[in-house]
Amino acid sequence: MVPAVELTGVGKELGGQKVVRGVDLSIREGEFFSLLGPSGCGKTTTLRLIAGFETPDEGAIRIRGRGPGRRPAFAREVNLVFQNYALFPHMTVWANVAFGLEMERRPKEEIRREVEAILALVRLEGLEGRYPRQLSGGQQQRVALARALVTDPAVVLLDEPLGALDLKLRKDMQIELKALQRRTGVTFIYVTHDQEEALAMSDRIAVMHEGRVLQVGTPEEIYERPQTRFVAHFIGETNLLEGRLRPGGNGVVEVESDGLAFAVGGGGRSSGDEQVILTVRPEHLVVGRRLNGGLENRFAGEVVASAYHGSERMVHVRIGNGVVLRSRVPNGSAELPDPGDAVEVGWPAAAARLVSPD
Amino acid sequence: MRSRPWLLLLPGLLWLGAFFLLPLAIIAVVAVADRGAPVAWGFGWSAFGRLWDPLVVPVLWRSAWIAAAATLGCLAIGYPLSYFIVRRPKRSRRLWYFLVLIPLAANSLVLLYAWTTILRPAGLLENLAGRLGLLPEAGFGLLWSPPAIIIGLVYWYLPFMVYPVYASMERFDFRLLEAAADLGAGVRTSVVRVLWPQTLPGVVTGCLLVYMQTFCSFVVPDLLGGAKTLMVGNLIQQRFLSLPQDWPLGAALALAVVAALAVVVWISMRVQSRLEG
Ligand SMILES: Nc1ncnc2c1ncn2[C@@H]1O[C@H](COP(=O)(O)OP(=O)(O)OP(=O)(O)O)[C@@H](O)[C@H]1O
Ligand SMILES: [Mg+2]
Repeated sequence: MVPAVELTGVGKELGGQKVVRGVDLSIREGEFFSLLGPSGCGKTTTLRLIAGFETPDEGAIRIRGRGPGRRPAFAREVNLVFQNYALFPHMTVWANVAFGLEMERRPKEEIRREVEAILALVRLEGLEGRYPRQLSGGQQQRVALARALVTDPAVVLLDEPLGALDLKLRKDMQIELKALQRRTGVTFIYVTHDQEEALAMSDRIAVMHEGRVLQVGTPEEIYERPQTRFVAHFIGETNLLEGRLRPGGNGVVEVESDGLAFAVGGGGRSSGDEQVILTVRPEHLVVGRRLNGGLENRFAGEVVASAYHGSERMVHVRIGNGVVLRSRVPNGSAELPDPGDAVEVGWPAAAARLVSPD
Repeated sequence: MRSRPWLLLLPGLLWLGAFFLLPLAIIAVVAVADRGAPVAWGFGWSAFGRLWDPLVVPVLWRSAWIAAAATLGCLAIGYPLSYFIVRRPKRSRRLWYFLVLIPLAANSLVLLYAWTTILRPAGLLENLAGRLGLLPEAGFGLLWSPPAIIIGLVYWYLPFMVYPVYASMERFDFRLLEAAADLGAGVRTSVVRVLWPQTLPGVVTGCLLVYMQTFCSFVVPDLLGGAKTLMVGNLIQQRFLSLPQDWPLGAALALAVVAALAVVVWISMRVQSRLEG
C-alpha cells in the first residue's frame, strides 16, 4: 500500500545550519505517528517540510505517492495544527472552522452540515458564536483541531498541540485526541518533546536528535529495544555502562568495565568494535540485602540515595567500580533499604542491551 | 499628604488652553464680528450665511473629495509598503523603515517644488511621455489641476499612513497567513480575509490622520493647484490675507472645518471601538 507520507533522504538548511539531515520516514495510512525529540532537534522544521511551508534542499517528500508538483503548500491534502493554534482572532469558532471549506468553494448547505458535524465531534456545540479569546486553552485546541479536520485531509500535522495546556487537561486531551484519531481514521503526525505523551498515544514513534532520525518503532520497541545511547537515555530512565566487549558462552556476551564483568543476553548491537555501551532499565534492577541466585548479574554495593516518587522509590546504589546504578522499587515491597545500607543489586542478562554510541 | 493627581494634568491642560482653546475662542469671536480687516466687533451670524455662497461651496466640496482621493492614494501605496517593510528579516527591517520614510518625513517645500518641474507642461513627465510616444496633443495638463494636488498630497502625507499601518502589521501574527494558506487560501484571499481585518485599526487611524491634514492643507494646493483649484485652506488664508478680505467668513469657514473634522473623528472612534470590541 502507498504510504500516506514518505520522506526519502530529506535535508534542510536554515540560517547556515543543517537543521534536518537525511531523514527517511514512511508513514502509513491511518497511523498515529509521533516525532519525538528534545527542543531544537528539527521536529517543527520536518513538519513544515511535510506541510509544504519549506522546500527540502535534498531528498523528496511524497504525499499518497505524489510529489508536490506545482501546487503550493500542499494546500488540500495536509493540514497543520499550529504550535499555538493560530486561530483567526477576528472570526468566530464557526467562521474559523468553515474557512477551509469555503476555500474549497463547497456549497453553503454542505458547509453548514460539515461544520456542525465536526463541532459535535470535538464537543464544541453551543460555542459556535464565540471568538477565540473567549475560549479556554482546551477549547481553542479543539477549534484548531476541528479546523484542520473538517476538510477531510489525508494527513493532519500537529505541532506540540498540548504544549500550552496544564498537566491535568493535557492528560485528558491526550486520550481525547487519540480517540478522535481512531474514530476519523485520519493519519496524524504528532510532534512532541514529551516522551510519556509519545509512548501513550502513538502507533509508531520516530526519535529525532540533531536533525536526524535515530530510530523508528512502536512504543514498545523504542522503550524495550533502544538501538542508540541517545534513544535509551531520552526515553524513560536508564542505566548506561561503558566498557569493552568480551566473548562469553551460550549466547551471552560480557562487557568488562573497570574490573567488573556484565553479562548481556538480550542482543542488540554486536558489531566488531570493542568499546560498547550497555543499557538496563531501572525497573529490571532488583535490590536486596541478599539476592537469590538465578541472576546473571549480581554486585555488592552501597545505597547512596533513595527518592520517593509516590507509587515507587528510586534507589541509587554505588557498586564496586564507583558507578551509581538506579533501581526502581515499587512501594509496598517488603524491604526498603536506607542510604548507607550494604546491599546487593542484580539483573538478568536478558534485561541488558548493547546500544550504539550515537 | 493629600495627593493631587490633577496637578499632573496641568501642563497638558495649559498646552491645550494656550494652543487650542484660546485660538478657537478668538476665531469664534471673529466669526461673529460685523466686518473684518479692519475688524468691526459685533455679534451676528451673517458670516455663517456666507458659507453657502456659490464661491465657497464648490471649494468645500473639492476639499472633501481631494482629501478623500489623497487618503485612498496614501492607503494604496502605504499598505503594500508597510507590508513590504514588515516582511523584511528583523535585522534589516528598521533600515528599510528609515530608508523608505526618511525622505518622505523630511519633506520640504523644495521637494514640492521639484514636483512642479516634473508635472508642469513640457516638464519631466511630459518629456518622458513624449519620447515614448504616449503624450496626447494637448499635453497632460496635470499641473494646476486636482490630480497634481492629489499627487502632492499623497507624497507629502504618506508617512502618516505608514506609521499606524506598519505598527498594526508589526503586531500581526504572520503565522495566521500560513494557517490560511494551509487551508487553501490564495495570497489575495488571505490578505483580504485575514490580514486586512486584523490591521483595520491601523488603517482607520492612518486614514483619519491623512484625511484631516489633507482636508485643511493649503501649502500643497497653493503650489500645485494654482488659483483655479483652491482648497478650503487656501480660501481661509485668502479671506484673512488677500483682497477682498473677510475675516468673519474666514473664521466661520475655519469653525466649520473644525466641526466637520470633529464629526469625522467621532465616527472613526466609534468604528475603532467596534473593531476592538
Ligand atoms: N527560520 C530559521 N532560521 C534559522 N534557523 C532556524 C530557523 N527555524 C529553525 N531554526 C533552527 O533549527 C533548529 C531546529 O528548529 P525546530 O523549530 O525544527 O526545532 P524543534 O524540534 O521544533 O524544537 P522545539 O521543541 O523547541 O519546538 C533550531 O536550532 C533552530 O534554532
Ligand atoms: Mg517546534
